[in-house]
Amino acid sequence: MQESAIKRWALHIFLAATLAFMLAPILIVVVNSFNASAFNAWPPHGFTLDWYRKVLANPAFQRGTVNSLIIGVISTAIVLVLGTPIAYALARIRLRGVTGLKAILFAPLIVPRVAIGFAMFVLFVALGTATGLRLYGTFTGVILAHCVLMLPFVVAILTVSFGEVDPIVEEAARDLGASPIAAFRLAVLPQIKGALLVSGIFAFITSFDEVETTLFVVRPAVNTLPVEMYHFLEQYQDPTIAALSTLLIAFTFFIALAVPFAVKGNELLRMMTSGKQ
Amino acid sequence: MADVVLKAVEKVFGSERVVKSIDLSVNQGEFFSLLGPSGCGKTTTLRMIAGLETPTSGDLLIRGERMNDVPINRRPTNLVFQKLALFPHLDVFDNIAFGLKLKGLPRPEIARRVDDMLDVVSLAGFERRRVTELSGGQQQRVAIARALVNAPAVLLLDEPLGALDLKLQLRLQRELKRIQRSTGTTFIYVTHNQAEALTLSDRLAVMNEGRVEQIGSPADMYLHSATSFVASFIGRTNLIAGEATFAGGEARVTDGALSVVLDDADAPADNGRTVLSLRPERIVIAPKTPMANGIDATVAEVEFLGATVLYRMRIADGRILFVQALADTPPLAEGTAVRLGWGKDAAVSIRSTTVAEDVE
Amino acid sequence: MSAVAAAPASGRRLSRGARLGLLLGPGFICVVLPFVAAMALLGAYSLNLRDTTGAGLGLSVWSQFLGDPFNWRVIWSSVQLAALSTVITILIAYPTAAALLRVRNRFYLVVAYVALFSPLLVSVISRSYGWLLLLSDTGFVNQTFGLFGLGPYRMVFNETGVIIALVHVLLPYAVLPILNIMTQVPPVYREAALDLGASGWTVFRQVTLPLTLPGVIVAAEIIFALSISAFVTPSLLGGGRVLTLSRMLYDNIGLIEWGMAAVQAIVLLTTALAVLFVLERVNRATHAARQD
Repeated sequence: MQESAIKRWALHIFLAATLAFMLAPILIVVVNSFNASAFNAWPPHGFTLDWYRKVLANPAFQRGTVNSLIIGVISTAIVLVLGTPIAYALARIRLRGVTGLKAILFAPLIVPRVAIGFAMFVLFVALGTATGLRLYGTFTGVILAHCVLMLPFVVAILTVSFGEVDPIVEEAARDLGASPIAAFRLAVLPQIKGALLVSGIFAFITSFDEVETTLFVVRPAVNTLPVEMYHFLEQYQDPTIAALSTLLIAFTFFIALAVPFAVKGNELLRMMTSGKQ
Repeated sequence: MADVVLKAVEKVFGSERVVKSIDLSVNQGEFFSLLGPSGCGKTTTLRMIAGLETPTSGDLLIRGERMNDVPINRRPTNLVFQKLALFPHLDVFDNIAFGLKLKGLPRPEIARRVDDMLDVVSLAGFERRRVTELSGGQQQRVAIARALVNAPAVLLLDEPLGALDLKLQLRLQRELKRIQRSTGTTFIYVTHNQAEALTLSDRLAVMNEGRVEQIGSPADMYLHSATSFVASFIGRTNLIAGEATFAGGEARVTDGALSVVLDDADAPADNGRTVLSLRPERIVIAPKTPMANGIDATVAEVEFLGATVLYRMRIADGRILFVQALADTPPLAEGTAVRLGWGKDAAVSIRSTTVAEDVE
Repeated sequence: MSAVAAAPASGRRLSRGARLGLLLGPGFICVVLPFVAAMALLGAYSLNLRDTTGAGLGLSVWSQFLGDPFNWRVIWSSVQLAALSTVITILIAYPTAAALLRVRNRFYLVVAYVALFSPLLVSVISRSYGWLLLLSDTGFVNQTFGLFGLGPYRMVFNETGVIIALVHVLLPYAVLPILNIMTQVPPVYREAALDLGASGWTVFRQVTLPLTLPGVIVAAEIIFALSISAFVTPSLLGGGRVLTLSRMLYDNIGLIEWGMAAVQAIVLLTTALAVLFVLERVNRATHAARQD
């Protein structure tokens, strides 16, 4: 079916404009990170690497980066360990009442993150007063808050992928002498490697970029990098933040693209372009 | 010696009795089939032997040991699944080596046994192929090798050839038989395909509605079918039901226009309702010499099968008699009137159960 | 067979409930339970559990919140902002998805996917900063306008900037479900309609749009929920001058008005759920209409 050339061209120009719109704020951040002007003058007043030096020398950003990495790695590990059995159960065991459990499990996807942040803050303070448990402003607290946000994503991704594994391979592994746990480890887990990797990356990036919930549960000592950035940006707008953003963009792109590519190069490309023709 | 024994084994799912008090005994080194239509309980029976289901009651013994509470991974059985269930993330070698690795055998021993098994199933050289790249027949052989390499006391096969095309089915049937003979392993084979069961089995059990209808050799089953279900499920037959009367050493069963004479020794002693099975090939068209039984009929339908011709003959009361004849002369035309005859020993008295639906 | 011998009869098969408990238990106890407790506590605080006014347990905070017309203005402007961003995002996302489906060049397709979806990987803070740079009075956009003798236009620290930056955040979430449903609509429907003599516009209005509407509604649900609760973008691009429910909530914690903040959190959640509910009803209705 041939469409009119005008319509086709109009759509292509529209697409190009959309793509430019999507890339513009990211490109300008990268360009501005080399801008010699402290007032973000446009066009840039010459080339400098000063902002990068400033970022790397900033103790708040240094601490924030370390904190974010620690929190990101630990909370990713926790949600993968806790989320995998939940996803497996949801994919394999049919039981009444599961709908209710699911609704609670996936609720953090709908509840505004600001509200979750405040609710967690209230809980942490109340628990602190009642039991002496120190969650507010500690790593444990931030990690718990991040797990609340990340768990539904991880479970959703893994449930789909467990659903694609034929349950019969577990029976086959059992028949060949595997205990239930060995059957899961040897016959099922290897088949969802890709989904584990994707959900792990997704969870890590979510944690690493999280601001809206985190703002409520951190104290300066455990400030994460995005929280430091938010506070910085509320006060200053010089290209320091551009340099930091550029470094972060490079970092997240490395994680999101290099890691899966290293694992299975072409498959990812195929995934990205499939479902099209 | 009996390898597998089932004593009054029952399986109930919810309120449904899927397997109803089965008694079975499978001999060592035997190729034994469980044959029946879908839903007859044969697969559930196999899954109970494998350990994928627990019997609700009764005893299951393998090599004399009670197996009811032994988990699947500790049973001396291996299963070839209907859907094969190969591990898609492993290559051919690792699929076959799976069970041996779990047993913790040393690597060289594993490699040797997998190699031997690849020879048995004619897949030498395929070690490092991904199982998803293999053809249906090759995957089938990997599934068999993966189970057989563990040297199980009993190999269980759940309709393993069902998904393949007919030509491949026939080839793999011969191969299965060869593998079974060369390894001497006891095979228990589940199928709904009666031709397959007759070809492969030393003995078989015909199941229907959760019960075993008859156990015996293929020839036994065909020639001396015990029930109307077996007679109609294995091959094709004419069922004749009526009162038997006895006179002068002969019994006579009358069913509508049909009246069948047989030796009274072959008819049940109680003077009640008798069911007879009369195989189509035992009926002679236009007999040259007089026979004990005879009836007039007209050809209603002709089915040319190659070596033989199957006729549907209409008799006086409108019913159809199946008659099968060698195709040594051109087939009769539809509408031809003929005389049919059969001997005293042609019809066999059987127990009345349900009748298998005509599956063609 | 030596394996046969050793087989304990006990403890081999766990009941379904026990298995479910083992699988779900750890995650639910460690993560889901604290979340539920936190939300419950939120409800309790909104009922003045942590009494700061001396009014005792009850609806005093609620009546205080609902009785203040200022709060209603904030709710209304939050909803407006979210609705406007949602509508604009959908209007951009729909043709974008349609154009993506028509891209035949594989390389361009990959570039387009990366450009559209990679911003998801970039921190909202970095992106907000980028928009601050682009939209400031002397920024790239106003400089470009200046070349044509236009502007400068004020686009930061007001709603314009907030909406532009929000659309940027929301667009990838909107394109995905729309793209998804568009690939599921077989082209034969369009072809049949064209064959029956319908014009391009009629085909779009009567065939393509109704068939893809469920995807549009799903997209709207997702992005409305995201935009009503957005915090960073409105805060940074609004510069404190665009007041939203989420911003007010944050400020109230600074003021230690926890009861009030709890009420606002619940109002925020309820608003999001109310709109989701309405959209879901619309979705059902269109589904039902298609079944007939």
